[in-house]
Amino acid sequence: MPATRQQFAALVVAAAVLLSSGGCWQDERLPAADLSAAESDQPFSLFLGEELGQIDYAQLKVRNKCLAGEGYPQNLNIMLGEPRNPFRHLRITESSFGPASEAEARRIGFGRDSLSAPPSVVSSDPSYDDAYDRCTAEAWRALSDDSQDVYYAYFELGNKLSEPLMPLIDEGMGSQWPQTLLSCLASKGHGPRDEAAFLKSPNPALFDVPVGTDAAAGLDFWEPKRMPGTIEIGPAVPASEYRAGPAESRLAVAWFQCRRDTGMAREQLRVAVEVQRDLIEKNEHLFVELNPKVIDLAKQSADLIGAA
Amino acid sequence: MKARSIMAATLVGIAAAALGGTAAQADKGDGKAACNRAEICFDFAWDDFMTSSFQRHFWYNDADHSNDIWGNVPDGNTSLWVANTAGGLWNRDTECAVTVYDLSSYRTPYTTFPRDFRSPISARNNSHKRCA
Repeated sequence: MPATRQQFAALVVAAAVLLSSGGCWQDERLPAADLSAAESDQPFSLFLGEELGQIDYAQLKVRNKCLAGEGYPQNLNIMLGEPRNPFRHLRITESSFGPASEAEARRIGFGRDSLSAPPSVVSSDPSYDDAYDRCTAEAWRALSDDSQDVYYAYFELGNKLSEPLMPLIDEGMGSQWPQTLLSCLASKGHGPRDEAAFLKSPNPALFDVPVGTDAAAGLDFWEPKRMPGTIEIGPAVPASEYRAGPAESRLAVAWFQCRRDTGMAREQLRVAVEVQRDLIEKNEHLFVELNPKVIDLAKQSADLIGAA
Repeated sequence: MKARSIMAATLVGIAAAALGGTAAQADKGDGKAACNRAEICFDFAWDDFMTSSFQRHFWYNDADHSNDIWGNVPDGNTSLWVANTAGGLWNRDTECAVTVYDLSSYRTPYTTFPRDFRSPISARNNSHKRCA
């Protein structure tokens, strides 16, 4: 039997909604996704990394309280004191491309500061392992039936943004910049040992400048004893500030000045905004589908922790 | 051979120099063939960790995968570096998501793995960090 005009109109509207969301139906119980951040100068602010961190933290806390209730308080005792956005690197600022000031370049060189991290928890107790699996599943269910799926899907979305980001910015920058940077650094007395290699890939390591060390390197020596029936706690990872040596500082300051004075830093930010918008457009259906769910889950997470 | 570009970070003034040195070679997780709880496990060829050959396990961070060789190698070939050759990752860390970086020394974050999760990964891996 042929469809009525009203039925056909309804089908067209439904198809339009389906297509506009990239083939994914929105959850009608939740408010529609607000995509306006994509037009700002921080397009990736559309990605809800803070909310993802809240969901992660709530699930961990509920899981760890469950473990403590089963006689295993170790995870609860060592967990971080607050949520942490696992995709902080998707906040694209001047600092995403290197030091943002001469003072920062002088202090940090080409290094990075590190946040603290909890220790590794190693079980040699099958009863703990059973409790871990049980409490993990219970904690996800405490959030919602599909919380784990949404959580994993949002990590996947974050990686769809993160992985192509820097390669696409490089492509968008054009091929003249390595020569521009090389000339500028040379004018400040810094020459690489291999100019051809620098032009192919402008790497500070080509200047034979000693760099600092990784503050957490000593942790690599920890080995649990693995006595049956025990739960072992490794060393916590302290927050650390990177301190560049004098030669690294001098090169980093020159590098910063060259990026600033040649317009390279400004161009990187301009291209970065374009690339972010392109990546959002490519993944718009996922934002439409997942952002309302993540916002909802984050609220439930806050409620859950408040009640826990 | 799995190719990669280091332009992303080098153009932005971030060193690709290796840090970590010999210390990075000491952490091999529990040293067993299977990927066990609390370990961060890399797999050379993605097979959903159904086999245990060509894997490399860690408890903690590693700033330089170019001084790590694949373990559990059946034919005794231990000359393959982990850097830029991994095909899969299983994050069994009980506390942290793990970020894998395109370059050594935690330069250029590439992909971030949630807890209790495994999947194929791009071969662009030169360092990794917990709760980054």
